[in-house]
Amino acid sequence: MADEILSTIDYKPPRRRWLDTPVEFRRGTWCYGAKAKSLEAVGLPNPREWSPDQEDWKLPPNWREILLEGLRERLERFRSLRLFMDTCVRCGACADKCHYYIGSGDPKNMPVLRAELLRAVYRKNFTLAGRIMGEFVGARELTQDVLKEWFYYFFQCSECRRCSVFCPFGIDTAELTMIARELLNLVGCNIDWIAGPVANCYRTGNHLGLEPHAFKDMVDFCVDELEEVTGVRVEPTFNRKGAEVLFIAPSGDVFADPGMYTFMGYLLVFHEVGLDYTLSTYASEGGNFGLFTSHEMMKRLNAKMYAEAERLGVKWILGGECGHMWRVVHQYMDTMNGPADFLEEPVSPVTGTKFDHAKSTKMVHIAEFTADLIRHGKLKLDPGRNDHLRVTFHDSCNPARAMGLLEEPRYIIRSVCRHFHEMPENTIREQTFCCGSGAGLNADENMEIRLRGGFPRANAVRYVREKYGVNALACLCAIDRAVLPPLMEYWVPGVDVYGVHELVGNALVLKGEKERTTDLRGEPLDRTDDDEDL
Amino acid sequence: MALVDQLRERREAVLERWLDVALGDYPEETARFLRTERDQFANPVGHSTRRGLEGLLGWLLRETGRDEAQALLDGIVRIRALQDLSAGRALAFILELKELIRAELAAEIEAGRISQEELCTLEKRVDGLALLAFDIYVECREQIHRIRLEELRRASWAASRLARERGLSSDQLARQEGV
Amino acid sequence: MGIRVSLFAVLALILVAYVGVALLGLELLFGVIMPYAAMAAFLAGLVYHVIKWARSPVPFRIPTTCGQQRALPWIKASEVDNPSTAVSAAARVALEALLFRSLLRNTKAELADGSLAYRWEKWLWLGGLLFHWSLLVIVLRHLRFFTEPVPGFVNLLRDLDGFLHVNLQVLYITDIVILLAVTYLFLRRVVIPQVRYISLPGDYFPLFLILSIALSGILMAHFIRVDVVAVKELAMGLVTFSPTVPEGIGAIFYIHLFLVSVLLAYFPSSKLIHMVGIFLSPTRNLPNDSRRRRHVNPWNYPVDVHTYEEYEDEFREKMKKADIPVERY
Repeated sequence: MADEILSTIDYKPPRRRWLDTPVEFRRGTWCYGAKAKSLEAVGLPNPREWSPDQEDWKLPPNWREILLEGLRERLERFRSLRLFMDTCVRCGACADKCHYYIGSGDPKNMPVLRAELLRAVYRKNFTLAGRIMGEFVGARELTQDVLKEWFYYFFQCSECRRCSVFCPFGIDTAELTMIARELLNLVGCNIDWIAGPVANCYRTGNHLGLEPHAFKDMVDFCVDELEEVTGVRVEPTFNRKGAEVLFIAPSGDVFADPGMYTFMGYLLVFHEVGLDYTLSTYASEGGNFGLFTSHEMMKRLNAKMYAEAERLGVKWILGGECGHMWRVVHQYMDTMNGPADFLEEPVSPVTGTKFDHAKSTKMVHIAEFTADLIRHGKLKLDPGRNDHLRVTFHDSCNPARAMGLLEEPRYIIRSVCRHFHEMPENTIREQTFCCGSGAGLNADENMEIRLRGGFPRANAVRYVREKYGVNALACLCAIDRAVLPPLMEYWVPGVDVYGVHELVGNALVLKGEKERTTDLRGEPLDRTDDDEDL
Repeated sequence: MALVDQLRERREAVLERWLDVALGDYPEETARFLRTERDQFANPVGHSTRRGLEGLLGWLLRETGRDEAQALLDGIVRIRALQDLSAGRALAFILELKELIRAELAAEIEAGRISQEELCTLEKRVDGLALLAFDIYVECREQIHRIRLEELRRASWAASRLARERGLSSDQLARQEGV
Repeated sequence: MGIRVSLFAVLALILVAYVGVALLGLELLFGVIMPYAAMAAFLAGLVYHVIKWARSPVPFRIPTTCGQQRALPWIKASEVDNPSTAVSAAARVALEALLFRSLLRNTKAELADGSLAYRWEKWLWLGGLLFHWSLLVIVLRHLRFFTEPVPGFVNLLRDLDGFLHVNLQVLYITDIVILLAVTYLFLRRVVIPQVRYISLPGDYFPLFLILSIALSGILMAHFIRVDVVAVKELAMGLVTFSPTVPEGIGAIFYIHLFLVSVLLAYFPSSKLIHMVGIFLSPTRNLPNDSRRRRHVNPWNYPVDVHTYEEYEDEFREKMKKADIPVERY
């Protein structure tokens, strides 16, 4: 009896090649399937009720043809895909760079294998060698098991691009994941956590599905809170024609804790420099879960930004702190929905700085805007008001690896905080570790995979916490602000998560403000006079 | 204390074998990476496991307090509570230490240089660790569930406050609408 | 499985060449027809792939940025790792192709006296670099068989590479290096379990093939001497399209030549095509200037959007009640 129990506990799956190991849907690692109503709302194919852990995925009868035809089409449309299918030499440089692999140990989470899932089908159907020699050259048929494996692993990639930094050929798993998810969407295999926000965003302008009056209420709520802390009443406007600047933030900053404190920081900065700006309820979402669905869906959601800027007659657009939003704005928006010739080249009305680097897209990142303000001495700052925080900075994947926004936020943090400590070199900047929940994977049913994937990041935070007593993790992304708190709670208790502009909001001395006794969260200030370790 | 002395002498060997056992729960291609990659940031799982086991061995030999054991175990169990391992498998490595020590010291035991009594005392301490680990494991699992609930609250914290004020429908708060 | 199959395949190839030449006297086949066919397959395959790749457009500007962007003038940009111009992007690709820049990024943290130090994980980079550079030098050295008069740089390269003499014979450094490097690349595939897990027969086969080519070449140079004058005559015949098959070249030469032919023919349809692919990768060869200059997608097509009018029609009353301006009352 005892032996029998031991042997079941000892059970270890027999060693097999990865090609022969079908995927097992273990609880905690996968996300619920997209609901029919979400797909219907935006006209995506095969709406139905289904669940990934059931045997029958209710695929259309010709699902195989649809996928192969879809793959052929994309091979013709994306040189990236074509190249990445052909050029990998399986050197293994990427293998230990993926946070999901490092945290889960599942070998199929090695970026090279994630890509091989797609490559194997490509070889079988689109190369002569694959057709003739089959598995010998790593080719395999597209079966339902393979499709399920795609779903499992391409919704276990956060499109963070860390592996791409180390690849000698620049093979970008994010690009492959985007295309694989696009294929999966052709047969209705999206996840609920992405499809739901997409449907909401399409209709109401933001992921939460807040209707215009509710969105305004949320902002008003922030305004009230701010008045309580600072004694100053800021006055944002909505859908106002003729404003100079349209400001778009990720909607998570408007309604979620702790994102809303970052939003308060934006409002304070704008108020202080007297920026002539408006918010929009129609384009009330900076984030874009279309990016995690398909290129087309990304374009459909993103279109609102330029459309609204044109309708309101603003001169240029300013964007809030968000990761994947900036991937879309920086690398896709102008190409997809431009040219934005109805806008003007962005110029800071406060400092006169021409944002030459954004002269075509006409959209400026708020970290660029604020860094410029600080540099020109336009903000009166009292960094001592952040003395209760010992800060470290998490580079969000997209601003780091799809933009290169590395120094701007650091410059801001150094200006508004007196205790700032970097995490180890191989975990920040272009080598930054993902939060583990990017690319639409911040659902709650897959919490275990999120905590695993976030472990490398948390581990680096733990290091600076132990070494310098860090208690604040600053970041530049709304998803980070949503998902890092649980990650910290599990791995590094005692570290809270802050947006960069929340720290600015704490330090910013407003004209006519009252004596501040708390930070924006209502936490008491704790000025330390002597100890400065910048 | 022949046993403790012997173990102290062979600490490295025991540690390496124990690591093999603990990391042996991972697929082979991963186990090797976890085992050999010494960078604590590139390989947090392997690093934490090694550091934890090292500490636990020391704890067994030094007989210090429960708090220290708790902290050491937490470093390992917190990781294993999240992996694709059943609860039994996740904690088996602790009990397997007993067998491992007996194997490592087989010659000494055979020759009677280590008394059964000493061995029993040590094994009881290992059992104690296993029970402690069980507590931590359960706490971790409960924490994961608490975190899930807490996150839902956070994601729509302001929205639900607003909804309460305005009496919006519950559909507005449905889970897929929080991001 | 992959290892054994690949090894047998290479051994079989050697046997085929040996039997063909030594027993059946098919010098013409192995000395002329095969090389021509292989070269034709190589060129055609290369052209085919490049055309195939080039026909797929680059719809979006998606460089992987590995350093500070060029934005605010007072923040120093990292021009090579995050190029803002086509010239810097070219420099980035050149660094990638010549020095394997990305593999160089592998740093590892180590704790020394309580503080962190970074060690450079350089073995794969070093092995890869030595292998590829040796291969290039060896190929260039072989130009002396295909040119008359031999260009100065080929002779120079030969002298540099062959400055070591053992028993009055020239010993090329690159010969030694390539053997070591290929052996290393093979061993790491076998020894590192992750790499072994991802390896396909198509990863082992070229390693064995190149190893066999190098070994047969070294054998010829040092142990089983062949008539170099005759070899050159054959080689010149090939490049001048007036092929001849001189008498008395040993079978070992034909084995060498046949393996090279196989490598050439195999090249385009295998992972070896990465030699060309590296220059085309859109994550590396594009400047990160997508906000400065608009990138055009040739297949950009109109999509369904939810217009502001539709939005206002749905929410007009609520907007009015909340004092949000509307277009139509």
